[in-house]
Amino acid sequence: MDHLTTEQLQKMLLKVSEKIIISEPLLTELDTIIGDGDHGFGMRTGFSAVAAQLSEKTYASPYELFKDSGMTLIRVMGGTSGVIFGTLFIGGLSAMEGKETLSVQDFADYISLGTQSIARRGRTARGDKTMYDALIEASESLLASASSKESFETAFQKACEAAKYGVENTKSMLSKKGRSKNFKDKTLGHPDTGAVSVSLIFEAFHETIC
Amino acid sequence: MLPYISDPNTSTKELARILASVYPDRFQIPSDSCNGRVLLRRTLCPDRVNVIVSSGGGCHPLSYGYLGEGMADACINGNQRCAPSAYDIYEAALKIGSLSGNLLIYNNYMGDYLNNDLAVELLSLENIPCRLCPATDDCLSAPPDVPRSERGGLIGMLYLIKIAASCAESGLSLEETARISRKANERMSTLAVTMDYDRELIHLGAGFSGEPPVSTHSDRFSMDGIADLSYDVLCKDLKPSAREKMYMMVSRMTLTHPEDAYILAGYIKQAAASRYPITRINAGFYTNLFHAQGFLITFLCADQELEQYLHGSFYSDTFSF
Repeated sequence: MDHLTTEQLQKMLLKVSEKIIISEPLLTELDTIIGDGDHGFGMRTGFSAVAAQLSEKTYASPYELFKDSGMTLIRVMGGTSGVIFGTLFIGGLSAMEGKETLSVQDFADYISLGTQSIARRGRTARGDKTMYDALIEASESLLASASSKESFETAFQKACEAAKYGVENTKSMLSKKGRSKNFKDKTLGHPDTGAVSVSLIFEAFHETIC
Repeated sequence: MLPYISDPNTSTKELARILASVYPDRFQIPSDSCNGRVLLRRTLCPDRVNVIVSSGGGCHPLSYGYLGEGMADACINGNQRCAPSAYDIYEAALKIGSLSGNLLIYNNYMGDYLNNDLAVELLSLENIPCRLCPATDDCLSAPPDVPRSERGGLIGMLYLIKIAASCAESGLSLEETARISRKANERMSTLAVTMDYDRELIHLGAGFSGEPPVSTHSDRFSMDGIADLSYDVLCKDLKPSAREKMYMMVSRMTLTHPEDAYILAGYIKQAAASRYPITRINAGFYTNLFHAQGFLITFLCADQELEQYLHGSFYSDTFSF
């Protein structure tokens, strides 16, 4: 598969929403260890609203689909997670403008722009033990797949593995951002919860397409 | 923080709704507001630049008190001590509908920055230009060798709102309004002075979330002592030039007698007379950020350009500025 339609992308986002919703206990447990425990609840709240919307509406273009979903996350979630995950959806919209279907290159550009937007807005970089550590791995993997003219199936499989690799890496990092930085050494050995959420999103992309 | 009888989870939303019903000639809330936290001036001015102020909730009269002619066009408060939502800022700007753009003023904390920055991006999708103007007036919130952009904000945003509003009402462009407001921010400092009455100690630079003070003084427990100390710290930080006029605001904290704010302002004016005299004083109660005994003392060094946007007075139901 080398292009995705708006309808296929909508199914993909619905799968993402369902995966995040059922993963709330896991995300809450992880965030309770090295955060304030509200990440799972916030993500479930945001993606429940997205799921409800996706079940009822149809969209004219990928741009409208991702913009509407991102705006819902921002509107419903609030706080830092709302901004960061909303930015993931909104930050790369220019890569979709005027397109009826998306190629692997389009999607890789979209994720890459969103990733850059998160790094700039969150003033974060690799090694800070944030969701960015998983996202940058997945984004770079998608860009590499696009350069190699790989199919969506292969691109998402590799991006999913790359995100998981990023999550594993966060276990050996000390938190430098957000509330978890207050836990200092206690964060060692635990993955960043936002990174786990990113990994779940790419897992859902992969499962929908394959 | 002062305890609430009202529900702190909903109080900022209720406050916006009630303020609009108590002062219908001054305020309004959008009828279709998503979160109900956006408070707008009754008369919208979409033909010029607008000033949108946001802050964490529970710091009254910041920022709802700063809404009106000569001050902000829209105010958004988050939940108690939580940053406002980017969506609420977006909603306010959409409702105003100014194609000249909006200046977003907020205190420089991570949540406030993230949400305002995202609001700029969301509004750019609607072709509504916005610029950011973070207040970074807390002079002891970062070491002196660290850039000013790393500092937090306290109450200096009141000057920024006044200057930005004056620029906007004069018909200046968004770029000019942002430039002049940011310039004011660069020339402004606030010192948090808290007192320990039992041990007769003066603390400088304590944070409103319980961060410890930067220094403690046992020999300055008097109006004279606080005036000299604060004047020295603020002048050392700002290094005023002879071309600038000094503006001062003394804001009392919640547990300090109202009259002490005015008396301290008089002492500082006296201490300043032989050095850099103070041109205009404001004293009163501008925020309950600190539930403590003490003052927030702000100096603004205004050159000729800034001065022309500092004229006029604003009267709210709780203070004048």
